[in-house]
Amino acid sequence: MDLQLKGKKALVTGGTRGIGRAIVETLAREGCDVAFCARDAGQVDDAVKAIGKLGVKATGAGIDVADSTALADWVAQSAAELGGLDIVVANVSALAQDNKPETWKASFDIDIMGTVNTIDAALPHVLKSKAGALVAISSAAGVSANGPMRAYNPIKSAIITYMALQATNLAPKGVRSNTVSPGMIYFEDGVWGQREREQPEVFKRSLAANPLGRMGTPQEVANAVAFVASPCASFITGANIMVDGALTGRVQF
Amino acid sequence: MDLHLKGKKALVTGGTRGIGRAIVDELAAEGCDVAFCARNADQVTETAADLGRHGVKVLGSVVDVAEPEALKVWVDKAASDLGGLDIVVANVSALASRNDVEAWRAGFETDVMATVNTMEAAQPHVLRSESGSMIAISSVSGVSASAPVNAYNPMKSAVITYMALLATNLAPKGVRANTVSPGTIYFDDGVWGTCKREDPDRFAFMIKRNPMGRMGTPEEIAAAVAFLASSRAGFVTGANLVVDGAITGRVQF
Repeated sequence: MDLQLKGKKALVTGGTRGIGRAIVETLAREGCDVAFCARDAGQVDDAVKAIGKLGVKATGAGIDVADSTALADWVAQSAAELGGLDIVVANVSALAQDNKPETWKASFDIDIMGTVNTIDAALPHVLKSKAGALVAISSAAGVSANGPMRAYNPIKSAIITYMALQATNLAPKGVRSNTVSPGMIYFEDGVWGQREREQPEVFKRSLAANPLGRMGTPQEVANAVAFVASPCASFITGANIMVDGALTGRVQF
Repeated sequence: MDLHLKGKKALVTGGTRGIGRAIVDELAAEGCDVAFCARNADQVTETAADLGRHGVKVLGSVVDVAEPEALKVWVDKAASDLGGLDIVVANVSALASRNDVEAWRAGFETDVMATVNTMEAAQPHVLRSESGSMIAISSVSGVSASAPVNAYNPMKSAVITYMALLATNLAPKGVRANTVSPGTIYFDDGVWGTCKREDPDRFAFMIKRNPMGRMGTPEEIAAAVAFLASSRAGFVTGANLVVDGAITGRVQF
């Protein structure tokens, strides 16, 4: 399937590792010029070099999406460098695992306001696109209350609702807005890689909870993002695409 | 994106018109051998001839999916003629949107039981596939109560729940099950084509209800089906992919 992504301009927050990296690489392989950020400028430089080898324009900056001014500046600069923005993927998460006030605050600043500020900054550019697509990475946790008390789940729910609001409000202007909600996604320097090393029993139990008998890969999330960001998904807006191997076990009405 | 569908064997119920026709066409274009059925023999012949241009094996049969015996015989024969089944798409609907006993029975037999019987008959074959994927076409009506009391909406809900159950139950066996739920999809000989000719005021109202200012196309549904059918969606199971241009206006948790 030709996703018709060649020459499109994409911006991704958090593009050096894990899911974000897979998204950047997948969009680049489909022919998108890409701009991405991460906090570690050295990792950004390395990734920019690697992605540039795929034959597209790649640019990046070492910024913290919780810093709204730096974020807005970077988005404006990326749009200028790429010559516009067609696709925006808000991917960064604080991955907050507990219920402390400071964890809630970090999740709010990074997961929610990082997403809101990315999209607000990008919107003037995306509105000029003929194939504008906004995607946020939420989580299967955003639709589940099976777990200990923590900020992560409700914060991820808020993102799904925010993207649905963007969908109905931007539809008349021809811009689509969707959420991709990953289940347990394994990569070595990710949450589950860390748990495998540090809490092997927890890891084993979590693995066993997956009906497919395995966790997902960053590539499998990136595939869904590339599809929903593409003109092939031109009537998909306001959707929440679960990439969770049926982990949630619920009916997704 | 190469969906890796080349050489896969797909079965689609209702493949001669509208959404089903677009699905058969898309899967064939991606290199699948395809078996499809419909009730009208002339339309089956015409469709099979037209699909020959894709250079894949195409088998069209005259079957009424509301007849369980005929359906099972056809599914087994299709699997035998294609040399197996990797992909099954239950697409047929009675489109019965009244609240009388006939509409309920038609919805039950054609939307619900034909989906169940298709999946049940196909399962032994799909379980032998290394990339088994089952998809049902439901509808945004299955997640909406903004309508007169009618059989169509609850019958479509039942299809979503059935596919979610299939997902969790077949996951350990490596087969995925998902739903695609179209919004208002326009084609000349479809429900909305008829509405446009016979009730232009209602048609204009429905266009207005679409946040994107237009209805969707069968091709836009087929693209979503092809993605879910492919191994690129290898961790997507139990999902309900809504392709509705945000007409439901709700948050899809």
